[in-house]
This record gives sequence, C-alpha cells and structure tokens, in this order.
Amino acid sequence: MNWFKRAVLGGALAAGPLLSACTPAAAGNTARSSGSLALSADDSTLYAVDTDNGVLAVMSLTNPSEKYLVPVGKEPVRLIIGADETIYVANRGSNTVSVIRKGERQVSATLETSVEPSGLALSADGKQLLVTSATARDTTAHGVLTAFDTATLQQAWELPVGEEPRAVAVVAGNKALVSLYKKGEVAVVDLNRQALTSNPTKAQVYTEANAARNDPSLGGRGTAFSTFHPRAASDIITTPDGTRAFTPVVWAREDAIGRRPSSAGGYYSSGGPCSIGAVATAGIVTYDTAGSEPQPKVDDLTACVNAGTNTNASADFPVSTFASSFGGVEAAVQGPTVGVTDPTGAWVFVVNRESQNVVILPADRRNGNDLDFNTTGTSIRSMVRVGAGADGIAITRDGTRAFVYSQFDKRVDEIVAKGRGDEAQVVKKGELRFDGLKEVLTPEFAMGRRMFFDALDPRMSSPQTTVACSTCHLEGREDGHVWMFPDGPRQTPALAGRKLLATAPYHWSGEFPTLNDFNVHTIRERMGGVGLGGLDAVNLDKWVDSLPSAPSPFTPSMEVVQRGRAAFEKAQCATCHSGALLTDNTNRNVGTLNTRSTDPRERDNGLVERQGFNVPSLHGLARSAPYLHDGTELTLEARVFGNARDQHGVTSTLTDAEKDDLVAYLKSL
Amino acid sequence: MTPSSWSWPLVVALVLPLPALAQTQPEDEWTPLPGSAPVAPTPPPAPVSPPLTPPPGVVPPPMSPAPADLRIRLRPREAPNQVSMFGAPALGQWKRGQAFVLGFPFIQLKAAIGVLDDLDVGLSYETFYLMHHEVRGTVKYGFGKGPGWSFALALDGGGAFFNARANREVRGTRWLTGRRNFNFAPGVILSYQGSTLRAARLFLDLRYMLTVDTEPFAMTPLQGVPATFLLGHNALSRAGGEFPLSERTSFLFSFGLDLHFRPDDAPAMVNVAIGLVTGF
Repeated sequence: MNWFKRAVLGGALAAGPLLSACTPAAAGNTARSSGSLALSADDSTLYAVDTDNGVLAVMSLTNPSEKYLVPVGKEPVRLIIGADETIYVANRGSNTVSVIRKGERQVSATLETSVEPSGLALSADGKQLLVTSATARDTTAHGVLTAFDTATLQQAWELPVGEEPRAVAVVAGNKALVSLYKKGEVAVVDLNRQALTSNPTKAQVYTEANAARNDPSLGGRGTAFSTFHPRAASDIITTPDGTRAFTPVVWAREDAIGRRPSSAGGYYSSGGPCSIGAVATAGIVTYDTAGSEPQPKVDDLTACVNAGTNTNASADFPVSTFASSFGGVEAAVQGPTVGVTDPTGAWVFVVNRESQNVVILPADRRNGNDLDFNTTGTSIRSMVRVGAGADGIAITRDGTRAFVYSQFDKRVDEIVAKGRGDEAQVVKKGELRFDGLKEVLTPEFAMGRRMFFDALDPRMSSPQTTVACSTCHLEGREDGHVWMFPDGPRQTPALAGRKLLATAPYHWSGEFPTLNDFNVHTIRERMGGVGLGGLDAVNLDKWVDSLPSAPSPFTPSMEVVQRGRAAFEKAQCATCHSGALLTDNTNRNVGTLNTRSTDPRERDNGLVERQGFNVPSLHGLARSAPYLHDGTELTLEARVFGNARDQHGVTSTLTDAEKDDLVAYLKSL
Repeated sequence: MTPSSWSWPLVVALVLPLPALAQTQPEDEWTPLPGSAPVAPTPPPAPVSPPLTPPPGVVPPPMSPAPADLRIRLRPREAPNQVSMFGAPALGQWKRGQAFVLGFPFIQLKAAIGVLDDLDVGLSYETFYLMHHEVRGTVKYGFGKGPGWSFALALDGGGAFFNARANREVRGTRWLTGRRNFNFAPGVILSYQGSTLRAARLFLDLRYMLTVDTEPFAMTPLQGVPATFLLGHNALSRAGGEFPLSERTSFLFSFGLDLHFRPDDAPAMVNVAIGLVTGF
C-alpha cells in the first residue's frame, strides 16, 4: 500500500466518527405555544383562553372580522392544539378539559379530571392527551398525571406525580417532565411504562444550586452566600427536538434576611443569589433530556466570584437567575409564568407576569457578541414589555412573530425583531384584542389584583426590590417556603380563603393590629414601595379577602364530618380556632415557640416570646402544607398524632379513630 | 486599504527571493569531494598521431584502469527544482509532492500526484490549530507556460469539522477563518521562476471561496428560521515563493489576505505561512 492510498484510507477512517456524531437525537414533541395562548398549525388563527370569562377566544389573523368566543369551563388556564387541530382547554375551576373540534364553535366533549387541571401535553404520537391536576380526587398528598386517549377521549391511565404538579411536556425518549409548582422540582414519567422514574433530578437541582455552600469540606457553610430553594416551577419549556427542557422558577433565599431597610429599597431588596436581586429572584433551570434520565444543569448560586455572576461563563446553558446587576424597573424580571423556544430551539422566551415582560435568552449559551454576561451578570438577550397578567405565549412557525396574552388587560401583544445582528432587539409591534371579552371583576377588585401581581408599581415595591405580593403568596396562596425573618422562621401563610379583612391582627407574630399597619410595614419596609393610598390599600385588601381557598378534593360524608367536628371540640381545638373563620384572632403558644435554638436563624424573638403566635384560620388547610409558623409539620396527620404534650389542643383525649376523623374534618375545611 | 498597504506584500515577495536569484552559478563554487587529494597538473597534450589500429586478428587488451593519481571530478547531475505544491507548475505525470505548512491561521498537510503532465490531484488537511479539521481534495491544471512563467487553474474543496457548534462559537474558528462545513475554492495561480538552477518559484494564488454552512442558526431572536444551509463568499489571496533547497525540496513562505463577506465573520484576515515542499 503506498503512501497515497494510506492517506486516503486514513482520512476516510477519521471522517467516519466525525460524520456519525452529526446524527440527530431522538425527537420529542414540539411546543411553540404555552399557557393561555396558541396558534393554529398554519399560523392563521390565534386562540386564547380567558380565565375570568371562561371562554376560548378565537381570532383570525388573516381575516380581522373573524372573531368569536367559545364558552368552556370555569377558569380555563391552558390550551393545546393537536395535530388534527382539535383544541383542548384545561379548566382549572371546574376540574375538566374541554375538547373543541376543528371548525366547531362549541365544546364537543368534556373530560373529567382530578382537582385543578392545568398542564396539557400530547404524546409524541399524538394518541394521548396528558393532563396534570394539582391534587388527586381523593387526597391532597399528591397531584396526578392523567392520560386520555385522544381517539376515544377515555381515560387511559393516571399516575401520582408529587405535590402540586403544574405543567407537563413530552421530551426525548418518550418521557414526560412534570413541574411541581411549589417545590420547584420536576418529576419524570416514563410514558412507556406509565411510571415515575427514579428521578434523581429533585435532589440534584438543589444540590448543584448550593454546592459550594454545602460542601462538607468547607464545613457545610462554605461561603458567605445564602442557599436558595427553587419555587414556583410554573412551566416546562422544551426545544423542538425534545432534547432540552427549561423550568422557570423563583429562587427563594434560605438564610436569614437582614432587617436593613435602606434608601435602595426595603430589606427584601438584597440577598438574592450572588448578592444580586431580591430575596426571591426569578430564574430558570435547564434539563438535558437526550439521555436515559434528564440531567439538570444549574449554576451554583453559592459560588460567586463577581457580583451577580457565576464562575461558569462558558457553560452551555442559560444562567440560572434572571437577575441583572443593573437592577431597576426596566431590568426587572419577576414572576415567570410560561415560555416557549423558537422553532430553531436557539432562543427561550419566558413570560413574566409580575414584571410584565418577556425575556429572551439563548438556549445553550450565556455569552457572546450579543450578550454581556460578564459585565451585567445576566444572560438575557432581549426584553420587551407586555400587558398585565401575562400567562400565554405563541410563536409562529417561521420564527418571526410572537404573541403574548395578558389576562388582566385582555389583550394580545405582538412582538417582533427590530434591527439586525448583535444590536437587534425584540420590540412590541402592536396589540390585538378579541371581541366580547369583558372585565368580569369590579374596578376595585381589578385594581387590587393588578397591584397584587405587580412588581413594577413603585407604590408596592422599590426599583431595586421589584417583588410583588404574589412573588411569595403564589396566586394568593403560598409558596411552601420558610423565610428566616429577623423575628424567626416564618412560613408563607396562604391568603386565599383566610378572609383577610376579618382576621386581624396580622402576621404570624400578630404585631399589626390593622391592615393599614401591616401594609405600611410590609410594603414600605420590606418591599421598598412608597406605600399605598387609602383607596388603593382598600382595593388590594378587598381583592385578597375575596380569594377562595384552594379547592380540596375531600368531601367526607356527613357522618365523618360530624365525628370529626366532635373530635375537634373534644380536643379543645375550638378554644382558639373558633367561629366561622376558625380563629379567635389572638396569639397563643402551642409549644412551637423556639427561643433556645443554637442556630440564631431558628430562634423566635420579639412579641412572640411573650404571647405566642397568631392563631391562623383553618380554611383551605388541606392545600396549605407545610404547617405551623416554621413549616416544621409537613402533614396534618403528623400534627394531630404527634402533639405529645397536648400543647396544641388536647389530642391525647382522642382515640386513633377520632384522630383520623379530626384529620378528615380539618382537610374538609 | 491604501495603495501603500497593498503594495508592501508585493515588495516583500520580490525582495525575499533576491538572495537566491543573486546566487552565483553552483558550478562556479563546486569544490572537490571531501578527502580527495589535490588534482595533479594536466600533462601537455601529446602530438597528434594517426589512430592506432590493431592488426587484423589481434584482439586489443582491455583498457587498464586510470592511474591512481588521476581524479575525475564527480559532479551530481543538477536539475532545477520542479516540485511545486503551491505554485502553478504541475508535478508531472506520476510524480508526487507533499508539503507541511505551519502558519496562521492554518497548519496544513498536503499531498498531490500528477495524473497527467499538466494535471495534479491531491488531498490536504488543514486545521486551525486543532480547533477545526478540514479535509480537502485539490486539483491543479497547468494551462499555460512561458519563459519562466506558468499559469494554472486550481480547485480545492472539502468538508470541515469544527470542535464547537456554530451557535456556541463566539468569534471562534468560523469567524476567524471564514470557513464553514463545506468549502470550495476555485482560482488561478500565476508563477514565475528564474532560469537559474535554484531560482525561487514565486507565485500568486487568487481564489474565490464558496462556503456552505450546514448548521445555520437563529443568531438573533425572532428573525426567522434560517435556511437549511447558507452560502458564504470569501476572496483569498496568497503570494509567496517556493525557495528550492535541492532538486526536490523547497522552503515555502507565503502570506496573504482573506476577505470574508459573511457579516458574522471577521471582514478580513491575514494569512502567513512557512513550510517545506518535497517530492518523490
């Protein structure tokens, strides 16, 4: 063999592996819309679900006169369109999915689901509709993923998937990712086996996000930065080939929050990851889904070398926080709800309800000619303002236009690119409105709701803080997080169903005798807002007061309720949890006061040392775990059966059967 | 670019080979082989006499060897260096050449064989210091010759493999080299070689390069889905010389300027290289 032949053969052998590396990964489904908005397959028609009106709103983009509404169930929150143009709408308020066939202007079928369905996805072959529900039909211990046959519309199977599942997406390998809203985690379902996988991702996200701080070689407190827990995992965003997924989250600080109000904002304004951003900072977790198990890719939020930046400037995934070191209202990103990738999979679009904007960031890098991560500490490529209450986005097949639906403004914003190259930005092109959508809320309630979800309103929050009430009180409920406040650990209490106006005093410590006192403290000292006028405060408080409890699946028989009520009385629970709201609005020490902990973060102090904690209402108890002021009790069963010294009711007088009845009663409230 | 900046490479190209051109004839400098004894003075010529003819039937004895003190000036058969890998002259049928080039931005290995007297084909490997790997086929056809001058048409083309995906590169190999997944570079080569035995072979290589990008990506959000592949256009120029070290080996020096017309590439990039060219 001469040298020439050897050279040719060698070249061919070398090229073989290189060429084989170009083989594409297995494809999953493609989602170019999410949340309350979707486009038809040919991009000719825009569909939105309006939660307040309970309708599917339809608008032709080619024939402006063609607009109509299709009544669906209560509180529709998401829709998805199948390959045959069948539209599926998740009705969170009526526990159903509405099915609208192509060309029809009415619901052709309604699927019964578990409690509060929200997430929708189609299997890769389109034969199954996947629906997440916040709780099962018989327990709040877990939510479920339910599969319906799209041909027969019959339920095919149902699977427990963890607490408060919210969004679902199908990825490569015929797996489904399910976001667990409050926990900020992702459950992985093998659709072939219809079973949860071992799912190492739950612990992995937290571990990787806090690696340096929790490094045993550094004594467990390796850095000066706090640890953070992801919360509010509202959506699963996938690339078109299904090999990568993203979950928008809010990183909640776990360390002590210093009480240092300053001219820069309230004391929530600092203490975010890498000391940038507020104590609750929006971000995104990336998952590589091409392998046998999804692999999370998260920055270590406790390993920060420069202010606001992580060390890994060349990583192939977006920075895990949206915080910008520049701060300010214009750069604020808060309250992520939904997102999509563009048809190429190169860009991720995340809709943020509280900062009323859409941020666009590269799907697989954080640096470049068009990004200034090293300087700004943010990998956001572009940002565009949209309406209030934004929770839906759709992008056209050609990747040149995106639409965002804003529930509070009931409008669609069309966004496009302006300019070319590195300097190009995404801008708003115009607004579209559906016919017939009305403002269902009273003007006062509508105003109150806007303020609750607004991180940009200077009355509510400083430009340096940019948090909203809903940043922690997710959807008026709670985030499951325990905050290390100056007076001790305090879990976020649910507001929905607790009848705010009738349950003074406020806070776990009960130190605020009136709502005005509470507003002044929380809004001005904590959130850094300039404060609300009297009328604004009334509107906000009235809207919060009107929120219903998170629905519970428990509908115990009258007999069980009666037995449980009797146990409630027998254990003297009603001594404090009295009246229609199940609170006497006093402070009590139920044995949970902790004044002697060696960890100063865990030590209760101040008013509670003298008079205990504010007795909370018990309405909506089933869906508001964890329990007690410090969130140490994860279940009601643990509290009722574990109350050893009768400091929290005299449960020692109850038999186990009575305790079971008591728990069932409490869950029915 | 000002005319003066255009002209300096030409000046360098002309000045560099001057020492080789100014070299005295190798024959003038030939010295005896090492270790040889001084050559004895040549005896005066004998008077001319009629040639000796052996008588019929007598076989002349074989010629005796030369006297021990007689030394013949052994002189290698000198021939001009005609192994050109970068200039216009073709190698000649079934003659082979190879080259190793070290430069910026490329390291290159190149081998070629003459399939006809005027037609070479070959294979080359180029790399931007292992950041990418490009295997190219080369064809060169010499179509014109004059006294010292020669012209060739050339075409290089092949595939490139980049270490980093296109969407992850930030002013990386693609930006710097202008290369993409497939690159085709037709062009002309003009050469001049002086008549002396070791005269430098100067060349000017002008190419148009068509690049085929098979992994275009959305460089900016909402600017549409890119086509399946994107074409790019570059203009390449190289000037330099192959400076013969022997009949078959030359030292290569070249420089040039590449113009990139894709907006996401460096608009221009200099190219400098040194190397060795040898033949079989």
